[in-house]
Amino acid sequence: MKNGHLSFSARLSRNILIVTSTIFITTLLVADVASHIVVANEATKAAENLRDATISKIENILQKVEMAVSSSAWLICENLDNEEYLYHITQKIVSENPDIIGSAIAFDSYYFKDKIYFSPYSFLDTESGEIHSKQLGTQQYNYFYMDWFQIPYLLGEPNWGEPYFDDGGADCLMSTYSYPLKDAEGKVFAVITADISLEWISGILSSIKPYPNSSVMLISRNGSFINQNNDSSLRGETIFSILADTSRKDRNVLPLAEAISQGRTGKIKYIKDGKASFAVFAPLHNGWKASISCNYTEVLSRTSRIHIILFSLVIIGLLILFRASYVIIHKLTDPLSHFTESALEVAKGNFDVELPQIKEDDEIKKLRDSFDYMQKSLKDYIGELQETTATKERIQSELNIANQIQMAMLPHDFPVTDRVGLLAMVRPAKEVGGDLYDFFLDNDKMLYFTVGDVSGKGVPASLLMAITRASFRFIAKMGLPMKDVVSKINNALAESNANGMFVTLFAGRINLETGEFNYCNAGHNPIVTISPDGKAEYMKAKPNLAAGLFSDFPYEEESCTLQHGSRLVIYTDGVTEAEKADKTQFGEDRLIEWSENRCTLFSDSGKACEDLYSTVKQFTDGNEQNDDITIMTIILR
Amino acid sequence: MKKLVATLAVLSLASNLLAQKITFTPQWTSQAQFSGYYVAYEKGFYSDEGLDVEIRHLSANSSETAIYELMKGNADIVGAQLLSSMISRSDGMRLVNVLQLTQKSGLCCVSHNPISSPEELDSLKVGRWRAGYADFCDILETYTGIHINWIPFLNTVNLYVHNAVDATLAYSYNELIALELAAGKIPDDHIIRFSNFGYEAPEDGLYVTEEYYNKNKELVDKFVRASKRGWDYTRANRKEALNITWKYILEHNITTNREHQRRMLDEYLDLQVNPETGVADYAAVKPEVFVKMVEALRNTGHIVNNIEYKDLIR
Repeated sequence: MKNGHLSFSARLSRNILIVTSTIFITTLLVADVASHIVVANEATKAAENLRDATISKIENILQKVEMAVSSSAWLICENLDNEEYLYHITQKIVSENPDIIGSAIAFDSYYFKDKIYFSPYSFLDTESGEIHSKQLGTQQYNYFYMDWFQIPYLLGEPNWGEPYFDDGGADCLMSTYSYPLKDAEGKVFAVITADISLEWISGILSSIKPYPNSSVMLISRNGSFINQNNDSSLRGETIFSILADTSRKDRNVLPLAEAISQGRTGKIKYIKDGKASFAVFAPLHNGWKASISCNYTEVLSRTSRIHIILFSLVIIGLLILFRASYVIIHKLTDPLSHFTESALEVAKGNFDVELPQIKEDDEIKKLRDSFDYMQKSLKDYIGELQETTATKERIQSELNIANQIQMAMLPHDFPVTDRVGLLAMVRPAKEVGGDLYDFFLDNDKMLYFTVGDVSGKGVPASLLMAITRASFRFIAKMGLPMKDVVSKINNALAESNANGMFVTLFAGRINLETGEFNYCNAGHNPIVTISPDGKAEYMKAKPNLAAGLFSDFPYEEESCTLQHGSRLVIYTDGVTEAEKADKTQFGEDRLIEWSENRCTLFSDSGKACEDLYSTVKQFTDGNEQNDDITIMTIILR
Repeated sequence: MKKLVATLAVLSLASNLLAQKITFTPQWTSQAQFSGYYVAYEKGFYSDEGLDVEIRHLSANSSETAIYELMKGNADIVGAQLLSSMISRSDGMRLVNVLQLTQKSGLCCVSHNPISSPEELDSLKVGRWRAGYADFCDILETYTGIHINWIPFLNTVNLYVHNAVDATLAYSYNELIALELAAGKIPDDHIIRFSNFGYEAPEDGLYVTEEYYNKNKELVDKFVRASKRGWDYTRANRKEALNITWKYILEHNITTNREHQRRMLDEYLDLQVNPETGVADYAAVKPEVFVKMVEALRNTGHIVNNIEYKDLIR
């Protein structure tokens, strides 16, 4: 990591980790939910099987008791006249059935003459192991209102009584099975009973522990707990009383109690004390109900442990994967970092930097080869560029020298006398230009001057300019009329003009004493005359033909008289054709306007030249200069 | 300082010695039906009145009633139902009502099938308590003109849940709750409350012998005042009252459960609310209701001698 940014390999590894983690964790979660569902279903089935097995075990014993009692019924009916034998029958029921600890035959009131109560009863003395017999009914123990007699008597069918705690003898929780005897008219005249201890049930139920905190309930018809021997706190409680508190705040607890109480067979999920649980329940044939409850935390604890281990392994695996992928990717992408360093070196100009070697023929190798090719191409290109630049610099240097020579050719000693002031300037568009000017004074009386513009630009134009300027100075000094001066220059240029170049030229001579002005125009722009009263106009002059095109062209000379105080502005087309960016030209009108408004402000022709040049530059507003600009101003005093 | 402590100790001892002893016997074994008295005792309301009260319950196996204990002189004040006390008074027992606690009857009938009026009990096997209540049963049959096959029982719940009876009498604050805790919620349309069918006889009140009352009127007033205070406290502090009651239940080794007692207390406190005033004001039974009850008892042959309102109600 550099400057807080992750490296490529770290980012790639992180992305791989995110994608892989998402896939793994999603898969784990789905597997977790699916396995929980499967395990929960299996646990429910196992609990149902356990419930059915338990019910079957209890029912076996109950049915043995029922059988023992019902099979004695015929014997009683056969011996109703033998009271002693009736006692014997109850003894036999107790002695022959180890599950039965007491038995009675309770007769309806006055079934026997003069006897309100008659109930032979035998019971096992648990301490001595002996069986004792007695007559049960008394005024104090009026069995007609006891459940064990009253319920089967009223119903006319056998009945398992509610569990009761016998603290008189057996000192344990008991239940009584009652079997009604009916006469020929179907009226119940006696009830045979068998008392059993319910301790064995508690024994069976306490052995059922599908999970450490599972609870097993055996509920009687009145909702009390038959297996309360296991838990004394259940005494006096019913299924609805113990669930009353939780049913007010937990989910599905009351429907569970109702389903069990109503003797339904099934299963219900519920939440008790904040724990998700399920219960499976079913009734017994005698109206009791069995239920097994397990909480899901315990049921799923083993699966959850496995999932925790699995989850931990996945986390470790993912961390290893992250580390391994980082190392591998880092190794694979290592050449890229070398390329980065190489690219930096190349950028610094070190084209000979060595690239890393790639053994594998893969994308990195292709990249390396491409980079190598680019490096070599760059090296060649830069070499050529250096050479070209050197050549260009040399040419530029030479051009600069040529410019200096060209400028040096033009006269710079501008005459300033009491009769005349003159100044001229050339501003080439390129290093060397084709514009020219020249002047000289002959005996302080005659002023010769010329301004010219060679066709084309650059070095060829500058050479022609040099010839033209030298010709003017040489020929004008012969004292010839101006038309002859121009004709000779024309002929001189035309003779050796293989390239068809030409030069426009305005040449003039002013007698400074008389103001006589002779001039000849060879295709040049008309010059501007400004009268002493400041009025400016283009001087009418025959255009003739530019010099250098045809030999012996008959140039015509013209003349006029200039008044003292007049001014002349001679220029090349670089002034009037100077352009703005939108191609608008400075134009002749603006030159006239400048001549009238600005030129007359200056008594010094040098300042007038500079002002015209700066006015043109201001007009072009920074746009590139396309043509040479030459300005000459003459002030006659 | 030592002197002050000694003086206070002597005063306290003297106060105990001077406290007037009263034996109070509620009409049944320990349960939330008597919470107000337990609370009055435990919170010191009886002591505040200068009374030394002994709450002596009937034995669970006893066939005797609280009125019997009163007449035998074993109790100074007893709890009893108005109807029983009227019959006893008519039979010559000179007892008087010194406090009418409940303001309407809690008697109801629970049926296996939907029931909307007492007349629908005609010819059905209906459970009723083995001891007492013949008076009510006769009144019910006489005034509705139906005949019921009454099944006396010792245990309300079992006969009903084993379907040995079609319906059963029950008190709303006791047996009805026991049935619901045994078999689940009983639909409202399976229950009729006799107070909704013109049976205006309120039940529980406090009774003393006329002789005791004449001799110890102030004492009786103190007991009644402290008992009312106990019930008022119970109404305002049900959780605490239930805890106090539970202590008594455990002491007397009564087989029950807290949920049963919690619901019993709520229902019993509701029965104490006077329907006319909307508050528990311990109002004496109204003379016109008393007259109607006397007439009903005479019509059913349960009383022979006439009794006057002023004879029984103080």
